[in-house]
Amino acid sequence: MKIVKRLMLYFLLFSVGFWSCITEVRDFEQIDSAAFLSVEATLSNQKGPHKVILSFSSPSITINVENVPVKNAQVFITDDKGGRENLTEMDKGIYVTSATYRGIIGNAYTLHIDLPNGKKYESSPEILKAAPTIDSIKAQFNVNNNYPLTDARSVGFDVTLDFKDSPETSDYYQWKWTHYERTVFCASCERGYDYSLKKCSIEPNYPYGQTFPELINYGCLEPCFDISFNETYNILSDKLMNGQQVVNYPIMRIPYSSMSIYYLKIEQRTISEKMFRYFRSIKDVTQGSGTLFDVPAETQFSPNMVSLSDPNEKILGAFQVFGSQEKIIYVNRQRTDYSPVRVVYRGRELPIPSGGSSPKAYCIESKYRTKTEPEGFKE
Amino acid sequence: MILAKPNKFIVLLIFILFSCTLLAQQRKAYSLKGNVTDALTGKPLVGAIISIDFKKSGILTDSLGNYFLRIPEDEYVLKVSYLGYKPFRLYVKLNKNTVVDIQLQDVTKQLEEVIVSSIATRKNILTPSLGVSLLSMKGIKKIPAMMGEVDILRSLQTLPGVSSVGEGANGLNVRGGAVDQNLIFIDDTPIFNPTHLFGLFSIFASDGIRELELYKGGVPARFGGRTASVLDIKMLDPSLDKFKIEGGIGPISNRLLLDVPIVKNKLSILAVGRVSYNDFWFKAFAPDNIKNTRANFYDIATKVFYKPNKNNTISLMTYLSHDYYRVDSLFSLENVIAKESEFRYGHQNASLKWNHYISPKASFELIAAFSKYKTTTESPDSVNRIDLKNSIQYQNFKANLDYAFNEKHKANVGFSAVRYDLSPGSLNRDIVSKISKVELEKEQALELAIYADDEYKLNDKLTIQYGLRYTQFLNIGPIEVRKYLEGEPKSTVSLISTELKNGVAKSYGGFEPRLTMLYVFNPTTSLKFGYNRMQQFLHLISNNTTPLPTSRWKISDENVLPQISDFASIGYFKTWNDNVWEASLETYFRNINNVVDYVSGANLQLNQTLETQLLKGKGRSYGAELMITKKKGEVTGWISYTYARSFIQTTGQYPEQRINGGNWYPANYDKPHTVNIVFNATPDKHNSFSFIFAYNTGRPFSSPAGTYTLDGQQLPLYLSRNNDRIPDYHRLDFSWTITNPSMKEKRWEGSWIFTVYNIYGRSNPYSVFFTNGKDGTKVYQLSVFASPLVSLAYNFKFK
Repeated sequence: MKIVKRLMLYFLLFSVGFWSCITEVRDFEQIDSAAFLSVEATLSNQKGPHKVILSFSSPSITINVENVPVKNAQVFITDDKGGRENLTEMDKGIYVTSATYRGIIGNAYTLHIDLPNGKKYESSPEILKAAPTIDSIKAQFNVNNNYPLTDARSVGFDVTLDFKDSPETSDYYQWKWTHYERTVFCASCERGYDYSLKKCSIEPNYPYGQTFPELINYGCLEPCFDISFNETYNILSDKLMNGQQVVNYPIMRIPYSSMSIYYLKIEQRTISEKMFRYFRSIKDVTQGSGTLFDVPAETQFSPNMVSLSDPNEKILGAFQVFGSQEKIIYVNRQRTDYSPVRVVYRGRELPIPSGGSSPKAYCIESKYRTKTEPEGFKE
Repeated sequence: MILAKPNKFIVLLIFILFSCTLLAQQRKAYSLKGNVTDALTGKPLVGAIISIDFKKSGILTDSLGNYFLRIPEDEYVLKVSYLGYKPFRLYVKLNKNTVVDIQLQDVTKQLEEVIVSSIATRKNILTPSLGVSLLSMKGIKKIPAMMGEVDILRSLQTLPGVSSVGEGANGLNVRGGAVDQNLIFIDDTPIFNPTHLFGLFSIFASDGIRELELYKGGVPARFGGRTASVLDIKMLDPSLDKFKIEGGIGPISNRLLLDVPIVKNKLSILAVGRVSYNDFWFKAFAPDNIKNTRANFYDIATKVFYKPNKNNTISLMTYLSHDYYRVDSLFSLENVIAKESEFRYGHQNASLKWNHYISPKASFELIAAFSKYKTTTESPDSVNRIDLKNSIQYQNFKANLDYAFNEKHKANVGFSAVRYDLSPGSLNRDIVSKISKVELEKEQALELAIYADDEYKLNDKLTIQYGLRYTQFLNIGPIEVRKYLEGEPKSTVSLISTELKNGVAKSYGGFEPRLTMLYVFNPTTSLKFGYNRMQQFLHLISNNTTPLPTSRWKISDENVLPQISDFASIGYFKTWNDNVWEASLETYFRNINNVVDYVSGANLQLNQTLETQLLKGKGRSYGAELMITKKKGEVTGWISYTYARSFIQTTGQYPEQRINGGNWYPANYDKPHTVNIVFNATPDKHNSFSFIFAYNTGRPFSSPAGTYTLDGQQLPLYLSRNNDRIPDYHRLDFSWTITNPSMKEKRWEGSWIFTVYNIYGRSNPYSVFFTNGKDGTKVYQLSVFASPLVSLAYNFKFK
């Protein structure tokens, strides 16, 4: 008995903090700051409009200091067959091609940017290489036993795809996925909603039923869709699997958050080696950081954009030219064996007043939200 | 007469707190008297201080060493102290007139049982070695060990000039040197990865180790091949006459040592092993996301010792270490995504040594040594199976002759021949998988050296120790020799020719002078100067903050030049009070050429043309180390302060050849200020208390100068390498060792070690990193041991 007691004590002592921990640093002081021209340009064989976003990067890491859009630039794309497409400025710093413009497989494209201050920039010619078709996409229900069944990470559908790598070597692939889901709440405000500014009020402007500051969720006044997409780079080189049928290549995991159909668009891209290396360097810096085995965090400057006026100028971003294949799948999430782990929303909805309707808010276009119904949407 | 056997009676500090002297006046008074003498000479000690219950009584011993007190009936702790002598304590129950005669021990005559000593002062301040520390295992065991696991690399970090990039770092940085610049020997066989569990514990089974010598400078000519330091670990020699079993149970591992004489005074064998059982902890206590992790290690060492006659000894040592680590996806190989990864790595070392005693003036030794370090990374996924292996093999034959011309003149000559065989990467050689087979070219080399060391005492003041080593390094084919345009960044574009060479593909050679000079001002004060040149032909290729155990090694070839280090140091040494106190101040400067650095975003894994990812750099480090040590007495320990800097520079015509624009930038392990305090108190032979305090400046890391967006993501913008520092590191540890708690002399002797690591639970950051999400950039810090770690270990001895 004595030994057992001693051992118990021993376990207790040992279990005090064996594990490392990660804590947020709130008083971080930035010691260097700098801003550069940043180019986010894409062109593929999919139908347009294709976008070029020009801005100056933010010299601060806080969210309050944003990129400064570069307005009134002349932006055009030329190809090696003598074609030229002029882009128009759709919004501040966002330039678009016509909706009918698309890249042609085998052509080489060059992006040209002339800024109002006289500075000229150009990309190296980038060849558009065809992407292989996606043979099939699977969504397999899996339970991760490391987590309790009430944890959203426990249940989900792992989405994988199959495709055939071309017999040529040096193929590089990238995958993007996009999911659309009808927005449940268009706004969540503590002090009411300002319909003229189309955002939450700063001054108290309580709707019927609210009497003090409290998080209230607003439904949507108009059709609205939440967008989610992969925020990490999923890239692959065929270096170790040239010419193979690639099976069960992992794309994402669909949360089992409801029984409804899950709309998922998957894009398979063929990218250049240059872009592959560029994305890998970003992955090294962002996705692998914070471990005992970090590699030096260094930002690679643009792999294909140069300044014609000052060859030493450092430019961020790239002109991404890639072949693309898209596929939309609708995943049936009806299961009888497990129950979904539903999303819990903070705040509450107000009761509907008699004869009226509960307060609603506008749908504001952003990276994460759109009013436009996605192609082939089902729910 | 009661003899001074304080161990029998001393009550613990805790008990003393409760001893009661209340109501003393009302009780009857008795006399307490006796005589205080020197235990060795019997001479009476005049003026020894008598304390009662840790308060000075005001009584001193008289000219005959006698003392006398009259105090009320009660229980007391009597303490007698005298400068230069070990204090004496006794628990006295005073209920009659009592005589207590006391013999005190002269501290300066006490045998040293110190944790560390610079050789300079240990063997006498009058020997010329400089920058050399000798650590006894007995001493190391006294200082607090994290999770009860006695650890050589951690203990070494309490010395000035020795540091690492953080807790869990895979190796040491000695005086501004990289991890691979240390030559680590265990009984003449080299160690290529000194840690278990990705850096958490040292690989050496501490029970089997006698002592270690660390050469931070002043490396004798008999050592070569690495540029920063030599750590020479000596295993215990088996006892030729006494059987012994020792062992221990700790939270991390269990240990056992067997010492078995087979033929008395002729042949004996020692076996020592350590096995971890961490799986249990992971299953029981790990958070959900790492529950499936498995992490095990073991090491086993054996030594056979044969003494056919009094002039010859032969010993055979073997050493095996092994690590197994399994995680849910950690590793991805060129984007082959694995669901589960397994790592296996370890050493297989052996050495055979013959010592021959020729005459009182000469002795001779022959050594054959072998070492192999293998790593395997596996993903058992059925279709995309990965099985990546690499290995490094070392074979060495060396001969060494020691000769003493006379008292003032000693010499040592020898030669050494090493063969290296590297298999830097072999993917899926023996398995069926959709993932291709990749076989990186094997590398072979010979490192041949002859050397001579000579120590000459010119006069009473000046001694010179000088040595010379000549090393010829031969990179041997078959190997592809790739030539690139001079000065251009190495890439497929600048590649001029590729030629398959047999025989010697490339050779490098050079002299390595070594010098140490000693000037003695007086028997307690000396000044020393040292200079070393060292060459390194073997490089660990890793751009991680700390190298992975699976990182590949590379030998010098056409494109990767040998590293050459020039090191100079000056030291001032002083002792007081018959070697009880020792102080030293050492300063050094080191310049290294052909340091291996890496291009931004280097891709090192399975790269056939590795040189395209490497840059040639220069290194520079300098520093000053101040250390004050108390070596004898009830309380021993040291305080050290180190100022050390370490920088790297890469130059070239093209921006991609220049890290940080070609300017000097701080190395990952550049930590300017370090303070270490080690304190050990041994009030009696059953109890020992130790504290360690460690402080250092945070290591450099790269922090962003802003953010930019790409593909809808906000990304941090990093402009320069190591432009910022993580917060400073400090920590306090405590340990209490209770030896033989039953206090009875038995063949079985047990001891308990209670340790608290990081007492005040500071979250010392290992790294600071940045993540981006919908809410912008967030800054996080990772701490490896963020709270106090309490552990209890049990050790036993059976003789």
